[in-house]
Amino acid sequence: MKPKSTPSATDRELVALLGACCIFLALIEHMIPKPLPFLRLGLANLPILIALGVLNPRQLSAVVLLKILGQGLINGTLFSYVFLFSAAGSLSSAVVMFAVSRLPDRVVSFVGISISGGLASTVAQLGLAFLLVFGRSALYIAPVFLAVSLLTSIALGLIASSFCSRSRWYSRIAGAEGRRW
Amino acid sequence: MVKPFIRDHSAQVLLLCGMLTMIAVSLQSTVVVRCAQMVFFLIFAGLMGRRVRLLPPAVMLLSVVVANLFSPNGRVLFSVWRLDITYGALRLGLMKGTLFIGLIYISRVSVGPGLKFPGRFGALLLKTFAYFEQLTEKWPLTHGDVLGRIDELLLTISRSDAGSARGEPRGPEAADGRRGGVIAAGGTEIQPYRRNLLAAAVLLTAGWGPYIASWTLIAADGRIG
Repeated sequence: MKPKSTPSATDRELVALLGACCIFLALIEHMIPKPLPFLRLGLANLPILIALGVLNPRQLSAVVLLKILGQGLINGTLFSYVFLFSAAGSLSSAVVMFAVSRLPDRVVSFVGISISGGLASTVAQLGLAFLLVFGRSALYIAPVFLAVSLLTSIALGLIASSFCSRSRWYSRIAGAEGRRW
Repeated sequence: MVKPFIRDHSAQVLLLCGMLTMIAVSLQSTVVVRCAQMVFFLIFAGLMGRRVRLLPPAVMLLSVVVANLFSPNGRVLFSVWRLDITYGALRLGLMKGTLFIGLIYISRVSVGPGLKFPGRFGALLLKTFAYFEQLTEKWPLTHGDVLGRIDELLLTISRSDAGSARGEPRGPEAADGRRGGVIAAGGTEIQPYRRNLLAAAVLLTAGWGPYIASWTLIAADGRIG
């Protein structure tokens, strides 16, 4: 069964809560030390991954928008190139994850959806790096970026899968309307 | 004409100034100033009547600093057992920890009674701020099953939200999406607009003041320009 298309007060509450979770996780991630400057876990993508099964495209877009703004504000990158990269990564990842999650018969698991989103985000950011900053040199860093993205996406997919399979909160919001993996 | 407008929109002015202050604090690169700002915002939140707890921020700050010490960077200050405490790692940990706590308390001051935004997105934005505040306030600083604790936290927040829907008193609350969102004043006390504007001015001064002052000093020294 597909998620509802008519927003209710409860749906708006859920969008706001998931948006707040994105901002909160972005804040947590900001505090975690990174062994490499570009290595990011992408914790703020977790609520979006979880939201795929319970929100319609419009509501999901609102959560993504809240995430992008919140991340920009927290990292202090709201008025910089970094914000553009973050926005491109988040939007492309959300679109691809949504498309993959809507494949018939739920053939793709949380891990698969997460990998597709992570790779879409990385490709979008590399594309921007190619166009705006590095030029052809961006191709040299692509393998490292893609490898890191693959690993972190697998980790996020596993976390999301584990959370959704045992969470009472998720069971409540997903109910009969949501999709379960 | 201007005065009634400001009177009606003082809470929005406070939120806008709070967001501008967040940017200033993020841009601040002097660790001592960042620490002083964090302490100031914590005290200021208390003075503004927001709930302030000392232990959670202290534990949070300590854990962020300790976590960062495991990535050595720069000159070694001293060693604890086999761990080299480096200046760069200590500085980075303090910068991140103080930013984290500073932003939380700026947010608490900025989102106050009387705040309203037009339209559905306004209501959504307000609700998001309110949930963010609840998440930072109720985040359990205990050991054990992280996912279980997150689940419990989300259930708690959702339950308190259901309570508010039934008309039980609760803090920040968004109204009907078509009318926008309004944060209700707690109890019978109504916060005067002067207080919001004063808070906005204090936030801006505390956030941007040191930043502008440092650049002015640098310019006066003739190091730039």
